[in-house]
Amino acid sequence: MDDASVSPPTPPTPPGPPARAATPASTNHIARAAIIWAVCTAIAIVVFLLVAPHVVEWGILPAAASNRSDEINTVMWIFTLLSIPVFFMVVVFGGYAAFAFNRRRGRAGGTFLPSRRLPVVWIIISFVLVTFLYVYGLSFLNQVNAQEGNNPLVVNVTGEQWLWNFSYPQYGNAQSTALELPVNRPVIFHIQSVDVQHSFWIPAFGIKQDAVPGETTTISATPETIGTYVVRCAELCGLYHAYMETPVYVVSAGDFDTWVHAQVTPVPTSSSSSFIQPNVLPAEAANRASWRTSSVAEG
Amino acid sequence: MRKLFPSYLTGAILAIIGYIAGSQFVYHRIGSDNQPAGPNFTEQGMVVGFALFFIGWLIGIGALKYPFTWLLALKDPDHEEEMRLAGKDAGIIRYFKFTTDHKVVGIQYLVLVLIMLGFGGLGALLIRSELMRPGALLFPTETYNTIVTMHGMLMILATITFFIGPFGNFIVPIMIGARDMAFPRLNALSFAILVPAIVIFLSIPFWGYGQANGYGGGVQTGWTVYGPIATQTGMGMTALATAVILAGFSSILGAVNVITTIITMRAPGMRWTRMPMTVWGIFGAALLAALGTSSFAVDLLLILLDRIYKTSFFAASTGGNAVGAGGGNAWLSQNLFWFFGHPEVYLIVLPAFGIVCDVVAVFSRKPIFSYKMGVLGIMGVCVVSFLVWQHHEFVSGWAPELRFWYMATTELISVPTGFVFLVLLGTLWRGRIWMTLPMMFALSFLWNFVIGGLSGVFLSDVPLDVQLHGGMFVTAHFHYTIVGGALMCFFAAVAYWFPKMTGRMLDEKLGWIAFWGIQIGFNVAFLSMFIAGLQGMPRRVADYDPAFATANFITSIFAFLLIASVALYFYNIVISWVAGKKAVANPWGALSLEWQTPTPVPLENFEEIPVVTSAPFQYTQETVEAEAAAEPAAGQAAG
Ligand SMILES: [Cu+2]
Repeated sequence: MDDASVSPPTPPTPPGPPARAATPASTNHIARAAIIWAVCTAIAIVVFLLVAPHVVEWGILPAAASNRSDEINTVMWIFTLLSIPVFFMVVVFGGYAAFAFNRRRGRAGGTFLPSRRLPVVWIIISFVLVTFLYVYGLSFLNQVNAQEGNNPLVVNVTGEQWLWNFSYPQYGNAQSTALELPVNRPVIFHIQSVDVQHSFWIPAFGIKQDAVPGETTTISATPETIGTYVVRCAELCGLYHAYMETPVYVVSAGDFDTWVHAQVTPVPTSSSSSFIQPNVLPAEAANRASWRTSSVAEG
Repeated sequence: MRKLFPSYLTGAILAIIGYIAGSQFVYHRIGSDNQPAGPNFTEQGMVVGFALFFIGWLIGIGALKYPFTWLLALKDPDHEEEMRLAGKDAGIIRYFKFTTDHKVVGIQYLVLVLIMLGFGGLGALLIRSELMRPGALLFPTETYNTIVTMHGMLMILATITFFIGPFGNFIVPIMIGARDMAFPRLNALSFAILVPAIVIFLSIPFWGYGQANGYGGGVQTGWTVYGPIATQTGMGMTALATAVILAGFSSILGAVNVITTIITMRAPGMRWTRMPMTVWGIFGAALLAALGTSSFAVDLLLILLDRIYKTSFFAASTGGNAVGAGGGNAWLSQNLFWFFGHPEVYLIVLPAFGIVCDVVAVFSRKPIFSYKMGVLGIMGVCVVSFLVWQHHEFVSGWAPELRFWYMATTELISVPTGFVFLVLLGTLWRGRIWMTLPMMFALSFLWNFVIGGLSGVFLSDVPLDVQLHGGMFVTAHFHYTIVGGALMCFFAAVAYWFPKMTGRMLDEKLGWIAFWGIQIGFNVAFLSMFIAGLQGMPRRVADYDPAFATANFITSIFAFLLIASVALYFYNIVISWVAGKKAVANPWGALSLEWQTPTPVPLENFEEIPVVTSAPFQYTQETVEAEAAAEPAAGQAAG
C-alpha cells in the first residue's frame, strides 16, 4: 500500500460535528441495488421452482415414503423460498456497495447516516418474518406430536452397539433385525437402548428419535410407498457407528402378515438379554452393511 | 543462562517430574489392581499425574512465586518488580516465560491458537481423506472416531480462544486506553494454564489405544462427550476431561479479567457508548465464557467420577451390556453439555460481530451505522443464547412439551443477529471503500454468515430438525457459522492488527491468493455437504452409503483446497512476521486508540492516559475529502 501513511486526526481532538447531510447523489444507488436484488431474487425463485419437483429423482432428497416426508418437504420449500430474498438482500447490497463505492472509482466519499426509520423498519420486518416462520412451524409441530390413531402397528425398537432389534408385541413378540412394515398403516415406534445413546433415523420417513438407555421414547409415522429404505443411527455410538444400519421393507398388508407370522418363533438374534460380543471384527461390520450397495440405490 | 530460571524450560522439566511422581504415587501407594467394582486405579493415576504435571508446570515457570511471597511476607511487589515481571528489558526471552505484560500474553495466545488451528486442520485433512470415497480407506473406525473427537474439541478450544486470547489481551486494553489488564498476573496465569491443558489434550491418542476394551481406545464419543458412552470409551477420555477442565479454568479466568478490565479500566471519557464494537463483542463473549463454561466442567467431572469411582450419573441400569451401576440418566449429560455448548458457539461469534463492524467502519471511512443497534444486537444475542440450548435435544425425547418454547427463542435469536447485518450494510453504504485484505475477509463474512444463519433457521424448526438433526446438514451449518463467520473474522483481525502486533505488514499478494482459495474451497465444500445432509447422511461416520459418494467427493476435493489455502495464509503470517515490510504506526488511517500509539507499543502503552471525546471512527466528510485529496492520483493507484 503506497498510500498507507494517511495521518488521521487523533481521537482526543473532537472531530467537529458529525458528517453533514449527503451531497446530492447523481445516481440513485438504492434504487439500482433494489432492482438488482429483485432480479436476482426472481431468477433464483424461478430456478428453485423448476428444480424443486426433481430433487427426489435426482437423489438430493431421500424418497418421500411416509406422511411425514411430505410435510417436511413442504416446510423445506417454504423456508427456502423465504430465505432467497433475505440472502440476496445481504449479498446484493453488500456487494453493490463494495463495487459502487470503491475508492478506486474516485469518489470522495459520502455519508449515509442512520435515519430513525430504517432500523425500525428492519426490526419490524425481521419480527414479522420470524413470527411467520414460528407460527408456521408450530402448526407442523402439533402434527409431529400427534399420536397416530386408527389401529396402529406397535414396533419396539432396541438399539445396541451396533445393530437394531425390532419386535412386534401385537404379533406374539415376533423379532427381527430388519424392519418390515405394512403400507398405509400407522406405526408407533417405542424406542429403547441397552447400552449408550443411539438415534433411530429413517430418512425416507422423515422421522428421527434418540434411543436413550433407561428411557422409552416414541415416534410415529405412516409408510405410504412400498419399497426398500434404510434405518440409520444418527448419534455417534462408538466403534462401528457408521455401520449401524439396517433395511426397512415396506410391503403390502398381506405380505406383512405372512412375514410377521413366520417370525413368531424368535430366531436367536441378539437382543437385550444376550450379551453380544462388542468386539466385532471390522470385516464383519463391513459385511453387515454390504447389502447397502445393492438394495438401497433408490433410497 | 540465568534468564532461563524460571522459564518454560524449567516449567516443562518440573511438569514431567510432577506427572511421574503423581502417577507412580497412585500405583505404588494407593493401588494398581483394577477390579470391576472398585475404583479404576490406572485412570486415577492419570488424573493425579496430570494434576501434578499442571502444578509442576506452574511452579517451574514461576507463576506461584508472587502469591507465595505475598502470603509469607504480606508485601506487595513494588513498581520496579512489577515491571520486571512484565518483561521490561528482558528481550525475546519474555515470550518464553511467565510475563504479565498484556501484549506479551496476546502474542503468546496468538502463537498457541495458530498451533491449535494447525492441529485441528490436520484433523480435518485426515477426516476428509477418509471420507473422499465410500468404504474403509485409511483408518480403522477406532482411529477415525478419535480423530473426529479431537478435531471437534480442539477446534472449539481454539475458536473460543482466538478472539479473547490474542486480541482481547493485546488490543482491548489499548483500545479502551488502559495501561494493562485489570489483573496482569491472573492474565499471565490464564495463558499459563492453557499450555499444559493443550499438551495433555494432544496426548489423547496415546492412551489405551490398541489395548481395546472392546469399545475402542482413544476417545470414541465426539466432542459432545455424551454419557454413558463417555464412561464406556477408552482411557483417552480421562485425558480429554482433565485437559478440557483445565482449559475451562483458563477460559473463565481470562473472561473475568476481560470483564473487569472493560468495566473498570476505561480511559476518561471512554463511555460505554464510545467503545469500539470489538470491545463490545469481546465483552459479550467474556460474559458467556464466565457463565457457561462451568456447566461443561461439571459434566466432565461427573464423567471422571463415573469412570474412576464407578458412580453412575449418566448410566441407567438396563442389564445386558449396559454401562455403569445404574440409576443415572443420559439426558443429564445432554443438558449439562448444551447449557455450555450453545452459548459457547455465540461466544465464538460475538467478537466476530464486533470486529467485522470495526473493520468495515475503518475501510469504509464512515462512523459505525446505527451504533446502538449494533450494541443491542451483540448484547441481545448474548442474553438470548442462554435460553436456546434445548434445540439440540429436539429429538432426544427429553421434555418434548418444551419444544415450542425453545423453537421460539431459537428463531428469536435471528432478530438481534439481523441487527448486526443492518449495521454492516449501513456502514458500507456510501462509504469510501478501501479493499484491503482485512476488508475482503470482513465482506466474506456477510456472504458466509448469512448462509450459516439461514440454514440455522431451518434447524430451529422442529419438524425440519427431526429430519436433519445428527446429519451432515448440521455439520455444514455450523461450519458455515464458525469457519465462514468466525474464522474469516479471525483472518480479518490478524491482517488488520498484524502491523500493530508485529510491527510488520502482512503480505497482501499472498493474502489475496489465500483469500480466494479459502472462499472457493470453503463454499463449494460445505454447500456440497448440505446436499449430503439432505440426502440423509449421518454425521461423524467413518464410512457411508455409496448414494452419498458424489457429494462427499466434491466436499473432500474442495476441503483440500481450503486447507491448502489456509496453510498458505499461515505461511504468509510466518514469512511476513519474519521478513515483512516494516509498518508505520497507523497504516490504515484508523481512528481508534490502539492506532494512535507508536509501533512497537511501549511497555505501558501510553505515556499519558488519553482523554476520549467522541464515539469511535468519527470519520467526517471533511477528513475523508482531505484524505482523498492527499492521495496520489486521486485514488486511481490505490487498492
Ligand atoms: Cu448407534
